[in-house]
Amino acid sequence: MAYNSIVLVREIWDTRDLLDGVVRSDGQADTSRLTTRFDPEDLNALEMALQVKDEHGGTVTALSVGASREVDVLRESLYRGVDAVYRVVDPVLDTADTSVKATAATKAVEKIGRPDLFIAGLNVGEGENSHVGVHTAQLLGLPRAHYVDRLQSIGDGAATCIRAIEGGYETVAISLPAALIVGVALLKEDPRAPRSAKARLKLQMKKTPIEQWSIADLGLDPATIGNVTICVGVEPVEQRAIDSRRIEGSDEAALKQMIQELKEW
Amino acid sequence: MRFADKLRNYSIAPAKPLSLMDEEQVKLDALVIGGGPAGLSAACAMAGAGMEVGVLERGEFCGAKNVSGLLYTTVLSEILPDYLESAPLERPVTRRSLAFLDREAYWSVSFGSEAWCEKPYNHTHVVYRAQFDRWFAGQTEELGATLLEGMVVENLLYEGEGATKRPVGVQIRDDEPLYADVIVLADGANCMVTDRAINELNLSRGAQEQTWAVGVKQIISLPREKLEDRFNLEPNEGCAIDYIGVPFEGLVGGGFVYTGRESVVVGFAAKAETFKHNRVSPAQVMDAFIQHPAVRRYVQGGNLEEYSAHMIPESGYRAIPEMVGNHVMIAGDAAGLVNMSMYHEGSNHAMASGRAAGETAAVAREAGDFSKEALQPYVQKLRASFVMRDLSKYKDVPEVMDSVPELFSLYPSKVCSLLIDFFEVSLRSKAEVQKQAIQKFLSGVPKLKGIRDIWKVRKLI
Ligand SMILES: Cc1cc2nc3c(=O)[nH]c(=O)nc-3n(C[C@H](O)[C@H](O)[C@H](O)COP(=O)(O)OP(=O)(O)OC[C@H]3O[C@@H](n4cnc5c(N)ncnc54)[C@H](O)[C@@H]3O)c2cc1C
Repeated sequence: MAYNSIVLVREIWDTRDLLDGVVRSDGQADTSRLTTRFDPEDLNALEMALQVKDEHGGTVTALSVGASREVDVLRESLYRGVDAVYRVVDPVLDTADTSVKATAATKAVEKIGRPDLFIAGLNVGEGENSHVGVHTAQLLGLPRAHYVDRLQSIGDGAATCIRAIEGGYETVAISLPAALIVGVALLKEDPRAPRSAKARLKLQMKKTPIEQWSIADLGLDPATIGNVTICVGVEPVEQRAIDSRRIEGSDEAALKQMIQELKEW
Repeated sequence: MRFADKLRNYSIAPAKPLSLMDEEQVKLDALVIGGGPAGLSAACAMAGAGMEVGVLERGEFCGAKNVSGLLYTTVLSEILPDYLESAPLERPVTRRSLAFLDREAYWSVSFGSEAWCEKPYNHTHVVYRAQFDRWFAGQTEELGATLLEGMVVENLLYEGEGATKRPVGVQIRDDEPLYADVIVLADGANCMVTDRAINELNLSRGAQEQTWAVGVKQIISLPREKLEDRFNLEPNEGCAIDYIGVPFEGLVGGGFVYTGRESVVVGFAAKAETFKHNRVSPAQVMDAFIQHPAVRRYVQGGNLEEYSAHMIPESGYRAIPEMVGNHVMIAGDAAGLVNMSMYHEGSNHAMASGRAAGETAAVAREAGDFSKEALQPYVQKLRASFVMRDLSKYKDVPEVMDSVPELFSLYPSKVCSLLIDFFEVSLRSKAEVQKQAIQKFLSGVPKLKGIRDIWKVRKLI
């Protein structure tokens, strides 16, 4: 049996190598000094969907809400073998909060056609607070699992997945169609690691037109879709001065001492 | 039918993906291996001539792991004449210095010119390769080439035997092969692909075996005003200081300090095997260099932003392999085209050779002949250009550097102590001070050796 998936993919600021001065005095990031990247958790989500397709057949569609900045995540998805991509672009989205994005994503999913699996990464940087995927699943009325670490099997109208919980893992079966909000903890040489772009696809897909929808195209009214959240200001997180202490020695006693000190701390 | 409807259709019968994705061999006019200055210049030339070109770069993006200090821009200014407006250049080099470091003392000479403060700034800029190569790659893409980043070429694929053997494509790690009429090898200093191709195609290696220098550098950020104060610079000025002396004692090599916009580059390059002889690690040398009072003053209080290291082919002219085979050309560091004299010129040579290879490929394509003979004009172009002329002029450099190790330690420290002794303020008479200084200067070096060394060292200039 073949399964169709829709994956929500996002482009985020690349915060891996921060240079001095990126945080302005008002606490906001000076984004002119940042580049962007494909959200790594969405890449893991995409890989999960592609593996379902590889094994069972079906399609993978990538959906992105918001204009592309530097890295076009939809094109990058095409280079990894998805079947179709759609982008929602609208001025409204530039300042939209997570609820607006989730509403747009929901309508877009409905327009594409409801999938067997809706998959999104969990921890997305850029102030999403991990809301959009979950919220979209909620609006779509899909049963959902969060913190999905791996998809164990899929069949007989259900997906069995392993989700991370405090202090361990839990195996859950969820009936399809379903939403999986994934937070994969990748290990070294992990079979869940996202595949890289394929040269041939890149050569063939670099100019493929990408279908774009506005908020109105989705049957939503840009005038009334407004933000639920209003941001009145941002305060920088106080930097805590942390005194590091070095415990000399490399034996078990030193280790025990460190654990003891951490406990008391 | 709408795209969405189409998709829904094959969700019912998911027989075959989009027609574009049909499993077929992909063949381009040219493939370039390596998205550094050499590869991108080759790609620009070929794409500009209307060829379909793919640039395979193993880094996540071009420049991700590339390292260098100064960029000489004479060739770049011909490839992309607008580079001064759009390239991410840190600062032009409007003042240069040579400095000799003793343990605590130092001496230096500085020179510059007003003309260097104006376009084209003596064609010398400090650049950060992560930004510069990325920009260059973007320009190459605009000319029509396709950047295939994050792709590691493992090997070339061949057809034919003996004199007709030729590469027809490349094997990419975890991916299908790609095919092309002509391949430009520009995989830089650590050129595994080129190395194998030389063996496979039986190309002759240089008369001398290639040896390597290790280049290490740090980027240290400093507030702009502080930096301009410390180096005595106006906002659109920059300086480059080259060092030899004590921190590099026993090594064949030297250090440098270059100014970025809001950061300082501190680094050095030295012959790889001399580290072993001296039982020091590059990191230790870096520490000693950066802790030297003459260097520390510039970077004090700054933040370390980047620490990187890279190999540099340092044997020059005599180690250059045959650069052309059937359907293939070798450019840049992969061919060892680095001038290790006092000019340390690599990236400009890389660009010149890449461009020459690209232009040759475009002509070969018109004639429909990519045989070794048809690609010979690449070598002729290079021989006629400053690249091979300079490399030939400096062909003795590696030998001189090896045979006069005193050049990097004893001599500079002698000059240094001569100056320090000469200008020592004391109650002794000047004549006495000077006589003693000169005596000390001359001690410990046999006269003949000194003269012989000076004669040898002229070849570095
Ligand atoms: C510390 C240091 C200081 C330097 N200072 C100067 C200076 O002041 N002035 C100067 O002119 N030169 C300088 N150089 C030398 C200069 O950096 C090089 O000569 C120049 O980068 C050569 O360009 P290239 O394109 O041949 O090689 P590179 O710039 O090395 O580019 C080669 C590219 O090929 C890619 N690649 C390699 N193998 C593969 C593969 N198998 N598959 C896919 N991609 C691959 C690499 O990732 C890389 O991006 C310096 C070098 C160092 C290390």
